[in-house]
Amino acid sequence: MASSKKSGSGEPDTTGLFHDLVKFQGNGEFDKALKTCNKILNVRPKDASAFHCKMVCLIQTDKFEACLQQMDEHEAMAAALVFERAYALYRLNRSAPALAILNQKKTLNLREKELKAQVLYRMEEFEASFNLYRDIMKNTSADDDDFETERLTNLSAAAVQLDKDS
Amino acid sequence: FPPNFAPIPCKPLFFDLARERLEFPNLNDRLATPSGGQQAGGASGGWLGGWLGWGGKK
Repeated sequence: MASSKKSGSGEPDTTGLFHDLVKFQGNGEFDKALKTCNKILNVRPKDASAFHCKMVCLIQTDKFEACLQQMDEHEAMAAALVFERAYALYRLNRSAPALAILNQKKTLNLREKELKAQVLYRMEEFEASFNLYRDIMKNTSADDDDFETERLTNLSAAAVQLDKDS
Repeated sequence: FPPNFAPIPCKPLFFDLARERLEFPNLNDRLATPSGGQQAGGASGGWLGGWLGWGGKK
């Protein structure tokens, strides 16, 4: 079969490497996954999926500065990674820019809302954080994830701080 | 003398739930085997189907 490793176009086959990525994520082996991402990007430097995975790996291994630096160097591939960029900023205690990036989006998905609520909490915007948590809880159920209890804890924390202020 | 015990407000617990949502994008379309094999062969669609078409098949 002629199309086993390389096709006629000379595109290297990265299928096996992506299988490795899925496996490494499942095992939480993000150091190994990072190396795999680099292997893919070596042969396909503009591979947005591999770049996305690489940013996740960098964050999972607490390399927040490196993540932001890579995103600055590869604007085109990083443009869609709002959540990852905002999260890296949040972990570096750069709450204001994190919030600014999230606010640039017209509509936020659930995880972006979750992150925004945390950013607001850290900025001591307890009322906004509280309201956002209420909104999130209204739109999630036990079917969506296993974090209902933790989310309630975060909402309560915001409520307590809010109470102290007034 | 040691001061009397007095209640102080404790720092509320706060979880980083956003981290739980940090994951790889959906990679399904990158996991299909180019050689196709048993199933769809050249009709596997997407970018793979694209290069199979003018790869070894014909």
